[in-house]
Amino acid sequence: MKTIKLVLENVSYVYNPGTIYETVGITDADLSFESEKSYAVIGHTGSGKSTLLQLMNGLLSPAKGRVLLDGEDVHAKKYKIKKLRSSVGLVFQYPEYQLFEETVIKDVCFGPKNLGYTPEECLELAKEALRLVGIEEDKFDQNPFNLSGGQKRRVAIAGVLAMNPGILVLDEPAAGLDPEGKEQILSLLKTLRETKKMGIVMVSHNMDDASGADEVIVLDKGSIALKGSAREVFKEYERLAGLGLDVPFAMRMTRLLRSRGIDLPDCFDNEELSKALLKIYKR
Amino acid sequence: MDLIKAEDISYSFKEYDEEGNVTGARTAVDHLSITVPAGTFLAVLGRNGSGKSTFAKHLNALLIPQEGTVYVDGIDTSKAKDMLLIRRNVGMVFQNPDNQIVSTVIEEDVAFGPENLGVPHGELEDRVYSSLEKVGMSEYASNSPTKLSGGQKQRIAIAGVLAMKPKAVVFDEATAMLDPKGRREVMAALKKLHEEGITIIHITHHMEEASEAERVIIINDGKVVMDGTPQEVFGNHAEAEKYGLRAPNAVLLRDMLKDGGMRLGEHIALDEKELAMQIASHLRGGEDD
Repeated sequence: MKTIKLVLENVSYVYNPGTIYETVGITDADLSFESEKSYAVIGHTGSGKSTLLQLMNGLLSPAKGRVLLDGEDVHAKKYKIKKLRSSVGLVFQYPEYQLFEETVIKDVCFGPKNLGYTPEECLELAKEALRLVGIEEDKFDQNPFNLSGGQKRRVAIAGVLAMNPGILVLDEPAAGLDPEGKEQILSLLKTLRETKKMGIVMVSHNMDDASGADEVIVLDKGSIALKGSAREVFKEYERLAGLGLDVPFAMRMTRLLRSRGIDLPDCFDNEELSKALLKIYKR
Repeated sequence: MDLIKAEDISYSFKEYDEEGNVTGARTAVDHLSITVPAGTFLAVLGRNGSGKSTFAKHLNALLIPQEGTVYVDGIDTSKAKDMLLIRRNVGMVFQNPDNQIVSTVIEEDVAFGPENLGVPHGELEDRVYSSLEKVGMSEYASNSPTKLSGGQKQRIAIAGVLAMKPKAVVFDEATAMLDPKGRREVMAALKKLHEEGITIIHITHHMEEASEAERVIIINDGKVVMDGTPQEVFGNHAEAEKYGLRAPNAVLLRDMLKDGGMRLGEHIALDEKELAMQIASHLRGGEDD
């Protein structure tokens, strides 16, 4: 898998500029995304998350600033946008609604076919992608609409994986799934990062899911309100609460226990918290 | 008084090939029985494809059981002449906020249901405004729904149901597409309806939401496999996990503490405030509760 770096340099985007419907999409975003790392983007509805994702793979072009893939400006005149599209794969929210082919394998072949791969190569790429997402061979020739919700979603993700992106961008990949389906998707993303060296950028409304990322980006009204490691970002409880956001469960518990007079260090997850509590208990 | 009573109901969907020939059937609800007393707040859990939504659609005669009988407020849902009465008694709020709004003005949207029931004009107005009030959306009455957030749109959908004066409201994953703020808004509206005596049936994948209910059932392969208070169901989460579910975080933390030797008493705290109180008093005083 290719190692890539995507940089957003002082990027702004405005919807309907110059009209009374003018609305801010993104303002002055400076961000950098690399293969092998994971990023969580959080922010309430309308904070600019979707705009950001669309800027990342060239569906929108910035009104100001540049988007650079490995140093190349993707909106320069001579740049072939397909290069960006195949390097930064975008999985929309509820991607299963975008399945359209008669069979699973044809659906997954669609992406690589459009990138100009030969039919044999497409088939290879599609099979590999389906194997990665855990769809068994006996399902390849089935109608995708006969699969379960979780399976459909994994097929839709395979459709993007088949293009071999260096960075995979997903808009709420676990929304609407049951806890088991959600775990499968999250562990798939982990596998892609670890074994395929893929960069993962995930929009999430679940702070416990977001806390697993290397870097957390918090958006508010189109601007980057906070950015840093999950530990750093989620320390800003008051700030996040002001933005209508939350912190992971264990951190909320830590706060509550401190307010009840229990002297605890910063605890990030249930494991750390239970260890700290048991230490006090056994003292 | 049982508002909803399902007696041994079954429903299967036909499967078709590409030419449209029937190739088989998939059982979605399989000899399911349940009674829900009026005024209950019931949470329905189960993995995707377990039959939850198919079951829910039986509660207001969107589906009629192929076997067995569903009674809503004593009326058999298979009796077509009573359909309107059943639909009025049991309202539904669905998952996608964008698919449930029919008008370009919010108050007209809320009026759509009662208007179709033939509610006279003066009363119609009262119902629309009091419903919007209950979901905290009065100030938007004459606005267009297009600029609303997901949570606000869902509250409009709830108001539309309320304006029909239902005895029960079924929320079919009505919080699934919302952000945390929108989810809190819908849960607050839902609890308010419950306080007013309306029966609530809340289908969800969020265990924290389910733990706020009075009663939790788990549906698996079209059958009710667990049924009890949230404490009972989540207290036995090893069993619940078999059906693709996970216990709320508070229960998981409690288990870790218990495994580490801390004795927290019998009561299972489902939310963080309760658990924090339990742990703090235990660590300070050493008492069990």
